[in-house]
Amino acid sequence: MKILLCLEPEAGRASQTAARLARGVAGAQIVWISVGAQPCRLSAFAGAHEQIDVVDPALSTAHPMLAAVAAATLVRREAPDLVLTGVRSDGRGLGLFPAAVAATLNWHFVAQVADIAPAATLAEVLVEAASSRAEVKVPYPAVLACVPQADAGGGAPGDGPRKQLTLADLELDSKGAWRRSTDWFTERVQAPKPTMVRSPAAFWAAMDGKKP
Amino acid sequence: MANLAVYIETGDGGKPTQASIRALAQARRVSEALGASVYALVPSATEAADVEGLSVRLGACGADRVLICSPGLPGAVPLYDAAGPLLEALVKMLRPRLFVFPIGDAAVQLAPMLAARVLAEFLPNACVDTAATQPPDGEASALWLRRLHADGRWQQSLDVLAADRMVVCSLVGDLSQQAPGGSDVEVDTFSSPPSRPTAVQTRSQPRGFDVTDLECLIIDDVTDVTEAAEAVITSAEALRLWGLLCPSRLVLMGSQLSEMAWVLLPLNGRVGVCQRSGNKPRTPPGAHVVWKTNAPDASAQLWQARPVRMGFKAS
Repeated sequence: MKILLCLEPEAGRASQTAARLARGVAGAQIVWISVGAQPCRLSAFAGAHEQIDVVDPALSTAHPMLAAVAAATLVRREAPDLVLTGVRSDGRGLGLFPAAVAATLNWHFVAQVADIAPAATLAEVLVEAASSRAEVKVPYPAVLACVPQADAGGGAPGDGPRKQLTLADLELDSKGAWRRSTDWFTERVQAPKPTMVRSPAAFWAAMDGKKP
Repeated sequence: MANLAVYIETGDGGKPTQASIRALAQARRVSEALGASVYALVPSATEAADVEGLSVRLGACGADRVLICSPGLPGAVPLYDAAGPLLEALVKMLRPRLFVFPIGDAAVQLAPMLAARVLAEFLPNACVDTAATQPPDGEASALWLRRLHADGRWQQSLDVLAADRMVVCSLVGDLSQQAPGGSDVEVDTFSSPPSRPTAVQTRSQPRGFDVTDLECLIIDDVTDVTEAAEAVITSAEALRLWGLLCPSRLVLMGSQLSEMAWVLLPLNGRVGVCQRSGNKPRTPPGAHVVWKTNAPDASAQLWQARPVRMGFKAS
């Protein structure tokens, strides 16, 4: 079985969980890809047989769909049975990336995956739902977005070759349809300023949206 | 006239979940600012006898029109295999400006997939800011969605009216802002388009607790205010991601805090940080809370709070 790991360059705990789940599949061939403005910060991370970084500065300001389309292009080339990602592997925390990869490929998509047990034609996955856990059978091919787990672990060193591609190598144009306009979407690095209160009444008044 | 669509999740007995009601109330508030119609979409299985009660309830919470899928869609996951064709058909039919999902399973399983399929803008766990001014250029807009990133530093803002495409979002509800609506509501039933007949749900098991209606989340074992704020945000993000709760208030109580402080963050409206004093744990008066520690072996427990006074030292 072939598993492709899609990791964001920061490789958060959910991505590490995805890597751990992939490594837990006996005999799996693991291909690790990372799409972002920088290479994945964790080298030799996933114990992968092959490691591909898609690095392009345009991805830092582009719409997350662009990264998803780039990942989907690589997924088509590699033709895995399963794609594992962190639940928010777009680096912006939106959670759009895994779904967008699945939507681009028209594959099955399941989020909040905590465990997988691959079989011949489908994978049994454990989904951490709102008030229940569900074991779900998902046919191949599928994109599974994993939830962060405390015991994600670092993993064995990868011994596969690592190569770096750009969007141009994938015949993608960052200036096309996936430009995210700053006319309506902004991000600013600024923590909200804390407000201090001196009494319980003022505390709860402020919690209810009133000025202390 | 613009349309707003709200996905309604139903729980036991076909009743809409609290998170759905809060999202609907938020959409009502937005619609009043925009002059838009609010469509409540009920895609899950509903008995015919429940339709009237459901529509009255949703109408009272702000829906102008209730769309009920009959027969209901299976609740199995992958949810998008079952509900995706229906949602995409509704998007084509209604052309909503804003498609709102309540915090919960649908927000994680359906919302990002729908956004990707119809090429919409997407912002999860957002709060609504109407008639606000967007810094730094001071350009005014009638409707912003705002979201604080889990690291507590990034704030993302999306101007719904300026976007050239539909916006899909999941909204963090706020009990204090429930908008009363009228009971004059139209109800339509429709059949769902064929879904992908591939997914099979095998079995499910209940988790240890359901804290969806939680009022306060309390987190302990932090040592300074910055760490406390980060812990609150990270925990809230994770819990919402898992659809575990939709609290109207988040309070962090740091027994090891060196100073008395609290922070107000636009995550779900408000997040408080305070310190307990003495040996007694201080819990908010009259609130159901979850006591959560960062210890590895800690488990969440539902606490019935005691009516105690909270002491604050002058800063």
